[in-house]
Amino acid sequence: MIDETKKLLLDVLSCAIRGKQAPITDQLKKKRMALFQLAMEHHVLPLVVDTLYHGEEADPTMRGMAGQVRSLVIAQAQRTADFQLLLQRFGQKGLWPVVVKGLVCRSLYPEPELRPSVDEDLLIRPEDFSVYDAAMKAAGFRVEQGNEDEDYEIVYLHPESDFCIELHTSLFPEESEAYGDCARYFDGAIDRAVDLTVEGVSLRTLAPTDHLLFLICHAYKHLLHGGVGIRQLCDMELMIERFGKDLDWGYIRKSCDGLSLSVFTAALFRIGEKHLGFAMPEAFVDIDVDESALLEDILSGGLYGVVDVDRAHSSTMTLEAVSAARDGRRSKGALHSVFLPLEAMRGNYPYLRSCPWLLPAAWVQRIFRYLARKDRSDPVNPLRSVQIAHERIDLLKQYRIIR
Amino acid sequence: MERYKTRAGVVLTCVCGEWLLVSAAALRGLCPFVTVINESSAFLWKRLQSGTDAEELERAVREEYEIEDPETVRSVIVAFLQQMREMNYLEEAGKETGKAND
Repeated sequence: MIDETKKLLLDVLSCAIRGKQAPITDQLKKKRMALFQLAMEHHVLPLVVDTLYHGEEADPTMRGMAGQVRSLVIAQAQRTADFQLLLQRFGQKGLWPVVVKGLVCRSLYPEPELRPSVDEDLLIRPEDFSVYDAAMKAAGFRVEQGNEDEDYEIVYLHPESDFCIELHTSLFPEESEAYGDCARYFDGAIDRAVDLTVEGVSLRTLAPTDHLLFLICHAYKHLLHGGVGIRQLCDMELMIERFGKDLDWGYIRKSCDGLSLSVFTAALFRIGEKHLGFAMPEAFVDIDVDESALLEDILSGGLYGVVDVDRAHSSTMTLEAVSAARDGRRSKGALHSVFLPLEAMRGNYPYLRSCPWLLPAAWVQRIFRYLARKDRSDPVNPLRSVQIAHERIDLLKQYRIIR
Repeated sequence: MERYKTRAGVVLTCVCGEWLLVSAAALRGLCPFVTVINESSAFLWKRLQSGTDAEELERAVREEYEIEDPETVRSVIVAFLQQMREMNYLEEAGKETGKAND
């Protein structure tokens, strides 16, 4: 059973994603600040405040919140505007990358800029990377993270506007033991991409079936890394509402079955049905699932589960548990959190890219770094982290992701 | 009436009852960063963005605001177009000027 604030968030969100104003009840007045805090953790504050803002009747607190949200929305609108120009510039060069989630998901909302996106994702063919890399650099972006030879996604940042674009040569890293399997379901996705006009701008995007399946797989990836956000579920439900007739539900169900994600997906749709007022898709009606544990996991973790540092750290164990299950081997448990594999260490220890044999040295360095941390304001509690990992592994078992 | 379209890199949004036009960072110096507009201007902007021509625009205003007098409708539209043009939020249809500091 979710608490009062979480229930309020779902009620208010279900109005916001339909462009309706939410009624200001006494209960809402009492819990308003807690609601705003929760909405902020889930990156849906603009949606929540806008739907609760009743113009002239607004009290000073609401007017203050409206001011804050106005700044967030202007920043988001500027990112959208920057992105429109980048797409236009690509189009003039005959480049049509496939826009994934971001702008396309925002366009599903009654007021798109109220749904924040930190970055934009573009899918391209690996052989076109150098052309896009040159076009990104000509547009003033620089590589922030990743390199072409090792990573399936390269992060670009515009130094003046801080606008961030992720260029993907694949939608999932094939080498990931936990969710690399997802990649093969998107073979040929670029060939199946469709044209779409968003706010007067023509673009290419994933076909609706691919896009919904991608959102499901992306939610699964985040579930393993720390948590699914309620915003991700809103994106899925709005996509179904917009593209329902174009969706190949047989393919989506078969793909979810193949990835052991059907029960998890059914639980997501059950949350949408019970708490956000959407219809349960026919293709998943046969799955009898109790969605309450997943809902609690979603709402307590904030967007992507990063609100709690121990929970974020627990992801090394959940990922390892799924990798082991997919590989048919025994999980290494808590030890895995200390001795992370090479691919997980490369980000913080870049020398491992050229000298992978230094992995044991990097483990030692990591342990010493942890022990020598001066900033103890938000220290990781290893025992709590392990406890959370065990609870979240049970959640994965409950939703038949692992057995 | 000349034909205009909304400039790429300018986004219309509405937050807490306030309509805003927000332009891309690369358009600084050409367009204002943020401009507050009223609801009827937002209505006209959306129509222009979807490729509506002058005749359709007049019809849309007549229907939306129940204005019978064609001269009044025309003057509302002309005033809007002039204001938007002065701020460089519009460009002539069929012409893409691209970015300010390309």
